[in-house]
Amino acid sequence: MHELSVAVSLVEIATEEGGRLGGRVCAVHVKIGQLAGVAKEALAFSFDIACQDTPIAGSRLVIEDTDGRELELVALEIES
Amino acid sequence: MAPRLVEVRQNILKHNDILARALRDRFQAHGVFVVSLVSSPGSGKTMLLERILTTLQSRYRVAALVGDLATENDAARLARSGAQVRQITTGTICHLDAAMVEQALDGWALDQLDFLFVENVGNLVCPASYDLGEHLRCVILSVAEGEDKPLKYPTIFNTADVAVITKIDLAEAVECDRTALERNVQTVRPGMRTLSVSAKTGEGMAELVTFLEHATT
Repeated sequence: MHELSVAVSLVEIATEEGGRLGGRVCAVHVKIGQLAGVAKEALAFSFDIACQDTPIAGSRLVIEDTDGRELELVALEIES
Repeated sequence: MAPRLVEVRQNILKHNDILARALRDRFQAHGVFVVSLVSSPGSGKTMLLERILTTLQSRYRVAALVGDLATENDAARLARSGAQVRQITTGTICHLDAAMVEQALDGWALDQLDFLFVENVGNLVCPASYDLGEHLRCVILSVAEGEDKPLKYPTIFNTADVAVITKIDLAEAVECDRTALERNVQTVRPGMRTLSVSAKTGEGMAELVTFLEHATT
């Protein structure tokens, strides 16, 4: 159960990238591979907690399943 | 205005990966070969490592880091080998990451070492995601854990370089079909090198030590 650690890393990177792009991050798109060893439900739950009191609080997590070992932040939805 | 979708493409664990790469560079620069051990709790990691440290100690400068949620028991056990040992207590965290390893190395002269072993927290799931900068990752499973363990935890077998099967002196007592166990390793990771040992009787230990010595080159 390391999804909370993964979620904290994800929020850090999404916050960094969001700050670089400017505007408010309203959704975070990720790819999670079946072999990444990360449970999607637990990640989604942890993401909401990890987001609290950060610049990306309240953003949606959109998870795309893949076959490999991907653990990737793919895109951000930004409101200007 | 509708939100715009901006592609960023970043590895979620990139901070760990960057730190792990820096550690790997540091290990390389100091000429220390780093081996990590991952397994479920109770596979015999600590006893195996104690034997390895004791054997290597006569010819090499060896040290170990050992991770657990709580207690310094394993560090105390490993220190009996005479090697330098440090415990990493993770609190509630179920794996080691590169930052914990870096912190634990503080003050150690890496150029004074030939081998550094890193014993991860007993867990076959979470450690798979975290690169520690090691040169060689050994996944360890005992004959008492069931032949299908590799099939149940394919990810860790796919991030490890070698599988070490422990407690082979118990195989008959626990009715382990070692052929099936090895076949299951090959099913999840075709071509994976496996070594079988008993730290208790010493069977297979010489081959394991020779394997480690050759892995450094």
